[in-house]
Amino acid sequence: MSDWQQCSEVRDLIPELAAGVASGEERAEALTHLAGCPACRRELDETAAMVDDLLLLGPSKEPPPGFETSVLARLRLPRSRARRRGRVLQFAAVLVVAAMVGGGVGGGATMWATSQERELADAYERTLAVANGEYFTAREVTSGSGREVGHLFAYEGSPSWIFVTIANTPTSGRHTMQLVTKSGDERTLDECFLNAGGGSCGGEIDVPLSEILLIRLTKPGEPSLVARF
Amino acid sequence: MASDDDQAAAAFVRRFQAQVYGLALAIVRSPALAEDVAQEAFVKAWRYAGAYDSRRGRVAGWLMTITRNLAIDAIRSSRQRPTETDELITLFLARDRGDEGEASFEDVDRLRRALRELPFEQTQAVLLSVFYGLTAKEIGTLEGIPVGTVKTRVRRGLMKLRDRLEVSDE
Repeated sequence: MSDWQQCSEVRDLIPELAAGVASGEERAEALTHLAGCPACRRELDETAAMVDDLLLLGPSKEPPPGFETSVLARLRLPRSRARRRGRVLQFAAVLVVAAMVGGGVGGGATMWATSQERELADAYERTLAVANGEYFTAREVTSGSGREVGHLFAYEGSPSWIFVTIANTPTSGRHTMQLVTKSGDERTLDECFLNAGGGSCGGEIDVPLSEILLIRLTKPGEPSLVARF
Repeated sequence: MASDDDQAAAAFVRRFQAQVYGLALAIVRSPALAEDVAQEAFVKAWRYAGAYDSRRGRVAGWLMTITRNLAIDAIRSSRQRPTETDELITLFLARDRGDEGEASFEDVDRLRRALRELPFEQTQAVLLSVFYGLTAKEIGTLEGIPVGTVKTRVRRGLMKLRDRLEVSDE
């Protein structure tokens, strides 16, 4: 597809991206183009700023008595334990959920994912713009038979990370996620537990995305699930 | 939370509670549900304040985005859908008391005026998308019009708003 066609398709989607209502699949495709197209990114930034401003048009109304007390009481509750890995991959986790929606999960999980999806629209913009990000990409994860079973998201910044989500898993159980570089180095990144509904895993990486050959999820006796760069 | 945090949190809540609750109520239309949504929005914003980047925009816009997202989830989980779209538009276009966070009243009023000047169908499509989080397909189903028509209306509506605000800035 030509650049012009890609720009045209992404710009058609920009209002929904800015409003946070585009599907995970649409967003994943758009992200790849946006990462390398300053003009479309600028268009999205301006539209997103407009959407932010529109939200300020919401009518103001004082909440019922006791509201402030209730909120402050909740804010005093102990925060959940922050783990570095969790913090680093906070944005990545949002992407995982987006891909889960794209891959089709149902019921209450979809409701939960929807909120995360909209946050993705917000978060990716911030990431591309200000989070020291230089490159963002998404790849298909395929099974041994070549069937698409999930998505991989990779981000090069400070820190760089990858996140894999599997929606239609042909295998279940504990998998090891391995990174293979173009020079043949292999390293283990994370363990990933897949069940019938899928699963996800990810981790920080210390190599540029341009040096990655593939990421694979392996389990002894089973064909690997592979995302190729 | 330390006492300084207590004071900061109280000031934060007081500063924005009318906006947050008002937006939540406008979307979910139930006072009890709106209160839940508004509380959750403050908790989430306070807890993830580190994720806020001042270069991105105003705190109010960020907080309103969180509120809208939670409100949309609330109505989606209750399978509620906006049915009185005329009423919705009237609600958002009505002149407010002018408490728009750090944005000046003039800024927001200018945007409101620009929105009023759009063709009705574009205003409707923009508001349903931005405030109710409806996709073009969902708006099309609600209004009985093709998805392509909805996309065109939202896109043209947003472009006109941008153009009009840019002209006003010159």
